Amino acid sequence: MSDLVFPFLDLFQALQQAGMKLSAEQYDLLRQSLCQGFGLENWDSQNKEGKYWDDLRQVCRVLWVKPSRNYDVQVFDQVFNRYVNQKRQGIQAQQRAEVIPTAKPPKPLEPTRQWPKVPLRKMAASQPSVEEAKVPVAVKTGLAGLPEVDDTGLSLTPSQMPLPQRSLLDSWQLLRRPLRDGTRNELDMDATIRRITQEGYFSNVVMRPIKSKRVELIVLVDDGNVMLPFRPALQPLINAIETQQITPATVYRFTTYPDEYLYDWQQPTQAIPFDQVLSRMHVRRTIVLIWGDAGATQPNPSEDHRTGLMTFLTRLSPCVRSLIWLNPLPPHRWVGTLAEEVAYWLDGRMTYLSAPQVLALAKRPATDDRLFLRAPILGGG
Amino acid sequence: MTNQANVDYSYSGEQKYQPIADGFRDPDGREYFPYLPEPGLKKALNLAIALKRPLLLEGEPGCGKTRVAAALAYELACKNWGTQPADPTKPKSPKQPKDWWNFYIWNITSSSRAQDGLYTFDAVARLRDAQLIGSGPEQLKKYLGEQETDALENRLKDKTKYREFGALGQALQAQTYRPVLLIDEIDKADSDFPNDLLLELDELRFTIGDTNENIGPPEADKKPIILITSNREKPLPEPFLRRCLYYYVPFPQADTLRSIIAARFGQRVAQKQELVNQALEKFDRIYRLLGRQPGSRPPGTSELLEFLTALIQEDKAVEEAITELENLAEELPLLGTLIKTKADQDLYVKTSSKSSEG
Repeated sequence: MSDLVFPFLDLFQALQQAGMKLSAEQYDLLRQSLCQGFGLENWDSQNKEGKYWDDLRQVCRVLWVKPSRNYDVQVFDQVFNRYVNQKRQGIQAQQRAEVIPTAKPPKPLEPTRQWPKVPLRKMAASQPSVEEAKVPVAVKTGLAGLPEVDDTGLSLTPSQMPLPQRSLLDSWQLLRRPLRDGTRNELDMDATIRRITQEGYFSNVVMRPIKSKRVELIVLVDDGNVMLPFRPALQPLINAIETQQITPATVYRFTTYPDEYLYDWQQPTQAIPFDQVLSRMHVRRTIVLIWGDAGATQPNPSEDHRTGLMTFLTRLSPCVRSLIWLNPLPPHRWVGTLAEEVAYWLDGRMTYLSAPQVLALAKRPATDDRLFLRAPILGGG
Repeated sequence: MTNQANVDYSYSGEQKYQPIADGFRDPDGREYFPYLPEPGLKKALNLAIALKRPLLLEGEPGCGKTRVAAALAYELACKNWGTQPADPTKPKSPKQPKDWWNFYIWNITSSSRAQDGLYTFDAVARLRDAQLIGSGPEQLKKYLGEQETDALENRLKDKTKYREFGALGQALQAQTYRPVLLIDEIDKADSDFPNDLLLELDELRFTIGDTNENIGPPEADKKPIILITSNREKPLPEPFLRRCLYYYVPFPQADTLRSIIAARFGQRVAQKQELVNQALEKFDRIYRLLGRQPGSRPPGTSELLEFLTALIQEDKAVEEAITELENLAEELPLLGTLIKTKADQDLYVKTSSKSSEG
């Protein structure tokens, strides 16, 4: 044990560094459990397989692992195993050479999903930094007659997304307006009093359904190759869902158009029947957001594609409260493709990447927002 | 009844604290069956009891998340009150206490609100009473009678007569020992629901606005033991998760399943080991088949117990049951206890006919 006053503090810190959002209170829970004798079973029998860590592992797991990305069981296991290995090697080394090894803090775990760090952009008018001014640099002279291009000013890493997370969260708040829904089991005091004054005596109470914000978001993402370049623009939404700022929300993948199966976002090999997703939707609560090009990248739409999309939308529309199709291609690229037709069917529910547009769609009053598909233009295109 | 100092709240799941195989009924009519806790679950539960934190349990449907709360209440009553498992021949043992260990269940539905678990205030009844009194006391006496009118007047003077406590509200009131509270299937409710319970779960107190009452917090040695179950239909908010301990209940291994069957059916399967083995084999195959199938849910422990109940009915000969098992694909009513959808049943029928051909 590292310290009797703060036992396993180094383990706790390693977990924090690895991305688990643990608070001091949660460390205190471990101290309390240790004080009450939990987690130290088999501790004295220092067998070489390290079995005596198992009890501590179980206790820490119950205390700190939760069904959430910030308390992930995989991160916990990784860090814990590394910690145990380190400690065991430390003990063995101690036994061999009687030399106290310097306690090294465990390496922080690299976060698995993170964008490469964006270098700060140099402004055109910025002054060269002091160091740059001091150090003599070899200057490359360009070819005569050609303007010199400073390639440090070009950044290919996208940073300013057309749909920032903030505006997505605002749209989400607008979408999840409370609705009166379900059976009438709340007393409507105003209406009751109105009735008493009208009738002159108290006859009966007036009930109304409870107002509730019961909304769930389902995001369907086209992960076909043509959509790859637009992926970073979707990232703010995915981040908001993964950090549970938009919740409850589920993300599924499809390619080109959803047919019988959708695929899990985290595990793309796991197929989920579209029927099952449909049957879990609620006509007053489910909001579907589709991310796809709707065929805007293909000048000549195939008949399969058209019927496939039409079938999909026809099946989906009676099951949802609202639908928004986010097409990352600008509207002038929809013209003459299947996207134009889909936009017509959806009657204004297809939008491009613009925060005001999405907000406006989210603002539509929920009651009139039942989805009706317009009849398709036969033989159009 | 019990000395405060030596109430033992630990949970062991030992044989001597198990109810009999046919089940035990408490004064409220709730049934208790033998329960074999998985070692990790036992540890997590004891940790939650010791740290006085709510324990959130998740796991596949039918793996025994909900049952563990009843098992805990039963064991605590046995341990501390000396209630022995009732003798099957004498259903009412003399030692059985009149009231049972305080065990509250709050079943969450999609329309549950956080306040429902604390209290409800019957404003309508109060309004009605006020109207009745106002309509003329003399007339009222004529219709309701002296006694009822007095009761009505008394009721009207005391606002607290109109409020009724929910499961959580009851658990937070003055207790003589730590009660057990089960909040079942919390993920069924509105997504804001768990967040509405933060203060109540954290500080174990609440205020009733209608009557200006403050309830709780209970003394440290009378805090409720709170178990919360979830089926993972919705993610739970992080502030809520932070306040709970968490344990994922794994599906029982084959050996554990065997002991569960032995504990639940007792003498009834003692002579039918061959049948149980075959049934477990079939169950295992279905479990693995559906586990691989996207969109299907493999059967859980509760389904297995139903399946066995159907097989070992007393008037059914063992041979007959074994024949039924062998032709499980054709015995649709029996198959229906394990596989609940038409699509999955078809899949099973198809694969089993293929394997018998091959």
